[in-house]
Amino acid sequence: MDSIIRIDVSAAKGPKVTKEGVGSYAGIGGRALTSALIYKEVPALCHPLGPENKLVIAPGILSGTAAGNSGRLSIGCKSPLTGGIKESNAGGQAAQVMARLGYAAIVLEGAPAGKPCYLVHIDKNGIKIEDDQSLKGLGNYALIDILKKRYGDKVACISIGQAGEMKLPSASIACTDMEMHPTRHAGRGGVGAVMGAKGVKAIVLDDEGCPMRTPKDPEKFKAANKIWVEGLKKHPVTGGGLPSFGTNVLSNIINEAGGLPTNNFRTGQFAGVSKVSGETMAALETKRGGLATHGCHRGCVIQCSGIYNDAQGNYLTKQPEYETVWAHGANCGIDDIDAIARLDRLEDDIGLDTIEMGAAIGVAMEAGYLKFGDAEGAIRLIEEVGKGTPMGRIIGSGTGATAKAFGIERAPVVKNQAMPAYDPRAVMGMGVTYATTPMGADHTAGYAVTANVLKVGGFVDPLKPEGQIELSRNLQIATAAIDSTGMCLFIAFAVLDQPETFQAFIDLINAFYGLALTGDDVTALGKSILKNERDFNKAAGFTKEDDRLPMYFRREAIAPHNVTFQVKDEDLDKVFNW
Amino acid sequence: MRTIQIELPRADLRWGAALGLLQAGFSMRARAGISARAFMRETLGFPDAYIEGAVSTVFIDDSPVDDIDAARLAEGSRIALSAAMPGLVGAVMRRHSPYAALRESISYRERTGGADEGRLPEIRVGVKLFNSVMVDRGPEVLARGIHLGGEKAIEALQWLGIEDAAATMAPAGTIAAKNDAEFLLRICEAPS
Repeated sequence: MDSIIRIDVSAAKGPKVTKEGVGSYAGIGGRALTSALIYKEVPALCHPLGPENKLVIAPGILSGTAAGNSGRLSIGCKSPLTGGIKESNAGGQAAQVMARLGYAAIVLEGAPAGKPCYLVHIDKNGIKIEDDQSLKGLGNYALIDILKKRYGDKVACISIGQAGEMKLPSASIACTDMEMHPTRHAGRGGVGAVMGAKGVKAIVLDDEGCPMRTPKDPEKFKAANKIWVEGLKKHPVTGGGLPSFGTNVLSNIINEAGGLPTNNFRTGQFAGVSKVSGETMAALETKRGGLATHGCHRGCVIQCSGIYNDAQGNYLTKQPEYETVWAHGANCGIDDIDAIARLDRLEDDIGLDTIEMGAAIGVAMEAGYLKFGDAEGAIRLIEEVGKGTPMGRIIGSGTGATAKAFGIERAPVVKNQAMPAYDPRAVMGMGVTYATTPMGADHTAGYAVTANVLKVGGFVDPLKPEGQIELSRNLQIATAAIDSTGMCLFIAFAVLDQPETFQAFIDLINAFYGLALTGDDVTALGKSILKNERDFNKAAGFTKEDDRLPMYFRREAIAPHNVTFQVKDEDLDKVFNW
Repeated sequence: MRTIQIELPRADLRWGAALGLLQAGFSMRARAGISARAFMRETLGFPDAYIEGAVSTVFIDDSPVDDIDAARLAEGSRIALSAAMPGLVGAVMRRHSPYAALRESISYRERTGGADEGRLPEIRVGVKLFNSVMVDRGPEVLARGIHLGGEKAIEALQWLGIEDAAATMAPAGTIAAKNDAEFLLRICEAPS
């Protein structure tokens, strides 16, 4: 991965392609690269849809290797939703293929004249770009059907649906999975709108004839990978709960904890949860001939995805994730799992962030536009987003915009990005992360890694309230580092509990690149990424007042625990004080 | 209390629905003052090694529990049992989680004796089994029998595809099951 492709869509005679060495971005990948490039090259005060913004697509430093679970792709830009820096992350095949083609990043720059619909094709022979107006207005599913016919079913595609073409702030970027369905999305923050603003509809990646990336020390790499994969398989979460039930295994648990936001974050428990739980969904998938265990990219050992068929046994969508089931389920009072699956399919097709859409619909329900529980109404609203009707554009502009349009205070957003499926009053430490991460309300920003990493730089008693600040800080640091490797975040459970698995993770990187990294280096990398992101946001006009939850979370207690968010503002300001 | 016994062949697809009853919630009777660990061992029949190795997440009355020996059940307590869960919040909810501070305000706290402490020989406890625990231990729990109120029992039988569930439960000539009636539902593997 020693090259970066830059595509300048502003060039007078059509997109200009430059291939260059990685230069100052050597040795970093994924989120480390996207955040470094955006920080360095994008003026923080630019308009996200303007020519100064850039869209950076980067696999992780272990992508394209034989390392298990290394297929995550990072996509970065200035976010049209938050106005701050954004790294959005997706599974699917694109990271593996792009890395094997030898590219550390694809950077879309400038703004096109007119309204092109660019199709970019990259293989080992070079890069071709054509303006294919026949693809305009297509949903991701129809688009991929056409691309499969043209290029075969071994390519990987990165694309936008109608939402990205309309440059809606909730627009996602789709990556195809192993079956070439456009089901894995860089969902958060409107990255699809930036791709649409550059006039790019799809990027087709074909690695035919490209070998797997070769480690510097193949024997050490192979040995580390063996321990790594064994560790993932033997852990009860990565080897048990996730492959059997998918991420939606969390529905029952978070509901039991009283932390499942229900009816637009009004309460923390949903009476219909067992009808939409991971257990129910897995049984239904199996009964209908779908799959409850499935990997989203080649090399995935955890296999937390699945395939959801309709009542007639025909493919409908990928197994909906916990966040999607919550957003359209409990948050909207909907307990119909088939309706939720239809919404998942629609949003994958139109190219939308399912969390943002569920939260926006929840606000519309609170406003009385629909009743809570109206599944068909929710489906009609998403269809309107795809058609670009005035109401569709309101919903497609996100939760904050929908609340403003209807005069609703209770918009569950931070930095204008909708909160995910954990109520911050019940799990206050998650609230600390929602408030302070540079990404806006984000549940993946502060993840769990081994206690060894957490103890670097000091250890605070986790039973004390101050422990929440320290933990959130350390988790955000560790997560940022993992996001740079191309590894799926779900590896965190195995490395948390099994020191030999964490060591294998470090050994993989060292063996591949001929390095001698330690856990301290992982921490340093995470800190440098967060510093770039915080500095960008500061230059973009963000202050400490943006590191706050909406005030109503301090005012309204949530049942069943009757708790409000109680972490003091001055403590939130300590999260990044290293 | 009336007992309904159903036998299903091992390969019967309705086992999925049967196990699904356990995640929705049922009741069991237990001795008053029983600890969470003893409840799992004695009432549900979980082996000690399974309790230690697999039941990583325990809730009592909506609160995540760390010490399953100190946590004691009372009349009307609700206990939910799960394997280790993914996500930061999944890790946070685990017993003795190093991240327990992140859910400090909702963590289970020991109660002092209630009004019925020591006076009731037997208590009724609400139970939910989730994910791997449901799959691993569910068949034995169903064989021991679960208590369901009248309406829930009808729903359970309908979920299992038993037609005319109300008639199944009500002896001929009596009124249909009422909401406050309680049934013991046993589901066993049919002899081959």
